[in-house]
Order: sequence, then structure tokens, then C-alpha cells
Amino acid sequence: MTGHCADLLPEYAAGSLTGAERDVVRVHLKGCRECQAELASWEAVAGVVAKAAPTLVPPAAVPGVLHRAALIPQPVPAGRRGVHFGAQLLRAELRLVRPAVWLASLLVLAWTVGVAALAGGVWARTGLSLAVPLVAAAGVAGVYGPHRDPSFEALAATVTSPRLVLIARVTLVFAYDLALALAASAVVHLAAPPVRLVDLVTSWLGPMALLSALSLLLALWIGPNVSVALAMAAWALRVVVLVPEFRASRLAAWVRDAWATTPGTAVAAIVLLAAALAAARRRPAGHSGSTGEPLRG
Amino acid sequence: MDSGADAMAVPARLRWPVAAAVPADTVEDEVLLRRIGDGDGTALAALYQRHAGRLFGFLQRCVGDPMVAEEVLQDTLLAVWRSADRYAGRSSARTWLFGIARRQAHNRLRVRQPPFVALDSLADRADPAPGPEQHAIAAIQGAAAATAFAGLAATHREVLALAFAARISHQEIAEILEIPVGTVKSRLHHARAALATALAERGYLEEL
Repeated sequence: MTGHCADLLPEYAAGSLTGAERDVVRVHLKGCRECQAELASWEAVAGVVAKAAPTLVPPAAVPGVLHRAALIPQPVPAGRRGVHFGAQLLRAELRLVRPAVWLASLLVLAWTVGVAALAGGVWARTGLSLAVPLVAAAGVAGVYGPHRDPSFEALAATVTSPRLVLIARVTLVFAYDLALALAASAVVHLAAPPVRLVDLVTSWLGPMALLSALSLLLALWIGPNVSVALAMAAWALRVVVLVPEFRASRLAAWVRDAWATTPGTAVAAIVLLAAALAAARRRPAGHSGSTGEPLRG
Repeated sequence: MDSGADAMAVPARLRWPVAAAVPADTVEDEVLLRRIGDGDGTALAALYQRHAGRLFGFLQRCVGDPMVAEEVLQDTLLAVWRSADRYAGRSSARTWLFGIARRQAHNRLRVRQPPFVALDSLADRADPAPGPEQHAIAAIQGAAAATAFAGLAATHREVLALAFAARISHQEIAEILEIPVGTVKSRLHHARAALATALAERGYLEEL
């Protein structure tokens, strides 16, 4: 008849049992030899635990703790880290992206819009659809790595992971180019009314995402210069198939499908982006060795 | 140390009376925690006063060295002070407090091994022939207990300290250690067996 009672004996020996349970054990113990022996064993354990450390008066710790709390800055709580940290990171990286990146995108798109507005109609759409993806791809290719980032070595020594820095910068540059392209589309739409705004945006959106992801992956893998060159080559195919002689060919149809705003291009862009993020874990291309090789312009 | 603090601009959160004027004796722990979350230093003092003995006893046995135990105690109180506003009331205040203390002790033990070796010298000194004096016998037993206990696995020390030094119920221990109650009970049995073996190895026969 030990079952239920034996279960409670450690707590009874420790003195942590209260009320009805304690009374049950007390009554049961009177008639149960087995439980008495078990209780004696737990009481011996309690005795050893009591003797295991000297009996000291607990220190008056609170004033010291409050001093420490006032003097040592509180680390950012884990729960709030996400939003706050993200905003801080984006703001910090905003200053580290070279001004040339912002300026070049703006100038190229302004020029395109000017030409497109003058040409009007279908040519406006074509011009915009050719320029926007290239601008975004070139911008994204240069955001990260030892070649085009003066702060690269300093950043490599900080606790923020390279991948996080990369994500922040790509987000900034891509969002900027996206906003510029939308504005450009709006201007072209107003200047050349026959073209619908939706058609304008879809003409560049898919290619922009895909080409940017491709150029980012290549930049991390081989380096930004080669990346931009290869992205331009890939994009040149899109231009070539506009030439009347090639327009009907099978290759032309294939290229047009590849460089379009479709679920397929979206998935391809996401896959390439994921591959780029995986590549960012390793040392970026051109950064040979950890011995502090001088930065190349 | 206090005079130096007077010279500085004292932040609003630093409001506590030097005297032990604790009117909060009848207030529940959970209410105290809410006050601590609002930056009430007296509430922290009241909460600590209520649990100091058991908390320090637990930490001493968990960590081994009284000095380290005191440091861990301070880390624990600092963590309580800073995270009390995030106490959600899912567990009792005591469970929450001991859970924090346990994590702080683990963090400390991960950094450096506790100086259990020092206690072995106590055992050597205690080994000679048993004297007639009651005082000496008590000392021997204390030293034997300390060495045997210190030699246990960390999980065993932890569960024994919670159950017998802090006198916490098995249900609460289960919440603190984040394990089922059944595991608490079986772990206690294993700890008892390990303790008996450790004492027997040192030549002390305890009725465990």
C-alpha cells in the first residue's frame, strides 16, 4: 500500500507538503513500516543537502543590483530586437551605400524617360522595359563586397552578419530602383497616354527582379564587374530578339518568355536570391585572405 | 559606494529607501513583480527578502562556491529587475524567479567550472579517527556531505537543491526545470542513489 504515499514522501521530508496531502501522509505513516523507512531515507537526503553548503545569511544584494542596473546600459531585449534592429540597420546601411549608386540610377532612368516621352507609344514602353532591369541589376551588383564598398573591411569586423548587411543593402537599393521605375512609368504614362500604366509596369517588373537576383548571385560569386557584364549579355538577348529578323525565331519566343513578368520569373528570381544569400555566408569573391589585403578601387 | 551615488544624477528608477521599510508583506509576489516592472525598487527588495534564504541556498548548492553564488544571485536580481515587465503570469512568481536563477547559474557554470576541488581538501582534513566530541563529528559529517554532494552531476545537485534546500513542490520544480513531474520524481530517486554511492565511496554509511 505504498504507491500513492511513497510518491509524496520526498516532499513530506522536505517540508514542502501542505494541507490535506500532508495529513494523509501523516496518518498513513503511522501504520506503514515500509513508508517509515522510505521517509527516513529521504530525511537523510534532506540532511545531507542541508549540510552540503554552509548556512550563510543571504547577502543584501538589492542596492548593489539597482546601482548596477543604473550604471550598465540595458541590452536590447530580444523581443523588441526585430523591428528596432531592422530599422536601425536599414538607416545605418543607407549611409554606407555609395552616392553614385543612387545618382546613376536616377540619371539613367531620367534620360530613358526623356527619350521615351519624346518617342511615345510602343517605343516608350520598350525603352523603359529595357532600361529598368539593367539599372536595378547594376545597382544591386555593386552593393556588397570588397571591390565597391569602402566600409567592407570595417563591416567584416562587426558582429552583424555579412548576410544581414547584404539583405539590408539589397533591400534599400532594390526598393529605391523600384520606386524610381514606378515614378518613371507614371511619367511616361502621362506623357504618352495610349500606353496603360499596368502594361508599363509589367513590362519591366519581372525582368527587373530576375536580372537583379542573377546579377547579385554573380557579383557574390565572381565579382561585381564580371557580374554586370554577364547581366548585360543576358539582357542583350532580350534586345536582339526585338530585331525584326529574329523576332519569329524559336529562340526569340524562349527569350521573351524568360524575360517577362510571370510566376515563373518570380520563382526563378526567388531561387537565385536564396542562392545569393547562401553564397554570402562564405567569403565574397575577390576578398582573398583574412590578412587585410588592401581594398581595390 | 552610496555617497558616490548621491553625487550622480540618480535616475527615476533608483527609488528605494535605505531602511527596510517594506509595507508589502501581505502583497502577492505577482503584484510585486508588476511593481518591479514599473521600476519600484522597494518591490524588488520585498520580493528578495521573501525568497532570499531559499534562493541563496539553492544557488550555493547549484554553483558550489559561496562567492560565485552571490554573484549569480546578483545577476538573477538584475535579470528580474530588467525583465519583470515581461512577466506574463503563466507560471507563479516563485517558479519564474527560480527559473531565472537556474539559467543564470547555468550561464556561469558554462563560463567556468566551479571550484569543487577545494572541497576535497575539507574531506581530507575530516578523515582522521572519529573523536569523542560531538562537535567534531558534526563537522566531519558536514564536510562529507559537502564533498559527496559536490561530486554529484549538475542535474542531480539542481533537483536536490530545489526539493530540499529551497523546499519547492515537485509540481513547481517541474515548471522550473521544464520537465514532466514524473521526471522530477525519477530524477530525485536517481539523485538519492548517486548520493548514497558517493557517501559509501567515502566510507560514510548513511541510511539512504
